[in-house]
Amino acid sequence: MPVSELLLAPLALVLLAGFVVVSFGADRALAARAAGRPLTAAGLSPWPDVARLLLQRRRTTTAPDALLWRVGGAGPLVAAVLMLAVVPLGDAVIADLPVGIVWFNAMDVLLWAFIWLAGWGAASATALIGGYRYLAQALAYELPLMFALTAPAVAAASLDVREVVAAQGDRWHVVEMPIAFTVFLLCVAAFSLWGPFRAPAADDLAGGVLAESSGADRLLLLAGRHALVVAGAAFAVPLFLGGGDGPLLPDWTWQLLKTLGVLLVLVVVRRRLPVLRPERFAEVGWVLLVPLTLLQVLVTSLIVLAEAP
Amino acid sequence: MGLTERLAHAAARRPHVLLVPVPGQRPMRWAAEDVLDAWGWARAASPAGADVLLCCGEPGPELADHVEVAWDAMPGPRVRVVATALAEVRPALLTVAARLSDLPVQRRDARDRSAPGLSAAADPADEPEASHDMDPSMDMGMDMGMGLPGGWQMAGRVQDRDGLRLEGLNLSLGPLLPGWPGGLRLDVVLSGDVLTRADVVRLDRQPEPGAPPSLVALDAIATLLDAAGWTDGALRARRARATGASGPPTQDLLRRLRRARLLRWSLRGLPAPGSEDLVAHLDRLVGAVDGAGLPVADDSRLARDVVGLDVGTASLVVAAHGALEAVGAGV
Repeated sequence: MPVSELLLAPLALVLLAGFVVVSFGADRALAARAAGRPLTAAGLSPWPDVARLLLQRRRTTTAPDALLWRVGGAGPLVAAVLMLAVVPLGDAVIADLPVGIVWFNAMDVLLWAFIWLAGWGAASATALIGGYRYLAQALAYELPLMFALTAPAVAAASLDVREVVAAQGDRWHVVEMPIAFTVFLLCVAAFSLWGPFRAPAADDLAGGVLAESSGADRLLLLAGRHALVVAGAAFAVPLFLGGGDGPLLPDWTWQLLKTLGVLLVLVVVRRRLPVLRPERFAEVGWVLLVPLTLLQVLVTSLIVLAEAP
Repeated sequence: MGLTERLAHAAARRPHVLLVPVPGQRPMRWAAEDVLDAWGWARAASPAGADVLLCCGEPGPELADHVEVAWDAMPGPRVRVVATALAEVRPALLTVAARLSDLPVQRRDARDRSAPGLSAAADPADEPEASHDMDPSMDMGMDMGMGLPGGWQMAGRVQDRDGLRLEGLNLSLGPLLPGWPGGLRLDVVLSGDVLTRADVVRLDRQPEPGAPPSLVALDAIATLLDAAGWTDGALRARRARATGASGPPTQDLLRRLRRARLLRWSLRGLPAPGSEDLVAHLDRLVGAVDGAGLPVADDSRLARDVVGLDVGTASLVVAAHGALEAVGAGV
């Protein structure tokens, strides 16, 4: 194994941290604009928020399920890192799995347990209700997400992420599967409790799954949320946006630039939309998104058949 | 400078504030919110996420109990600020950074208290017995024999909205939930996350001082948008409130509200004070910015309206009532 591949895992972590910082800063910039505050470099830095959580004491409740609470708190960050393991950077990839797409999906299903445990472990009514809200939301987004992941796999006749990239050439999947791409981004926001999908951690539940956690526990959970959005954005690139395909610059640069672009779109969406109440979103998920994504898979299959030699 | 000092100084640059609105002190809440927005400080949704407890006015005896519970639940480093006059809000907040990063004081505070979160009110012994409509043959064994973790009681059972007999958990919601009006507490019986009974309690009831109806309407819009999770919209509404109803931020806000289809879809069909639903309520508030009459909140109707809703939605409905003058049978 060449040295460059050995360095890939630490590099991925550094890049992940970098993207989290960028998305945090972009979000703060949009907030400053809405509030009419002047933009300053210090105002965009995540450091004050990180510092206060590092310094803060760990809180407890009357009868917490401490072990499961910690598992739920650390889980999202772990899941995000494991998702990134199958995202190719140029020609290199940390884990070259023949079933990379299923791996990504499996990690996202793990979140069902992690977020619910984060709510359960605190042994508090609002946190637990937040956990259940996540499950309700997950019931609405999970099937559309699976079908959205199916479309590029069908087009490439493979579940290997690198083969999906190779199958696109310079006709990116987003051209023939815009629905799958859009639904995928929605679902990334949904599994990351991001923006309009933050109902499980929303203010109306006093923070929901976040209601009781403080200090390092809270830091892990919040970092995990940001990392999940980054992982989702990074995974959208090989699946729908041609991976490292692009003029002039090397492959890995294009992968990073496209990830940044998708990430910024998600940040803007986060601020512009109100929270979707899970019971309303369930209707959209089942009545609209499931049929639409199935239609997308059908169209993709027909294209594959028509182009078969 | 050591590592802890560095962390403390960085942390004090952007504290998270748990705002305690006090009945009858609306101008102080407005002033505090404006300062927080201008400085880019975050609002905490729960005591666990807060560094600063900011009372907008001296809390009355009943509210003070709840403030004490919230204070105990804050992890620390923590600072409590009580502003007793409008002119005090800003100077008091100016001292927060120094007090938060004063490590000797914070260390002493940490040493002299029990573990954060284990407050008197979280003591199961104080919790009211959760057993309406008890069926002795089925529930008694549970209630008597089983020691649950932390000494909690097993919940009793109540009829839920679908005619099932589910567990009934007695719980007090508020008064320190985000967007809730000062001193409003909802004593509820929960089946799962659905309210099967609700009583509105107004702590330390005080009339709010007069304010231009258009500004009250903008305040109500800000509160509603915050509760609906549209943070940017709420920020803009508070900016409009600060600059006056005829300023450009207000026009900008009203334009955005007219286009906010997703918000309207999300609010449709939810009960509102004196309107058909929250969408109609929002339109009435927008009308009130332009000089039409303000809707009035009715506590006895609120108590009926929230039954059958889930906790989150009920919280949204309460926040929609929040910023308005209330009548009705609040205890």
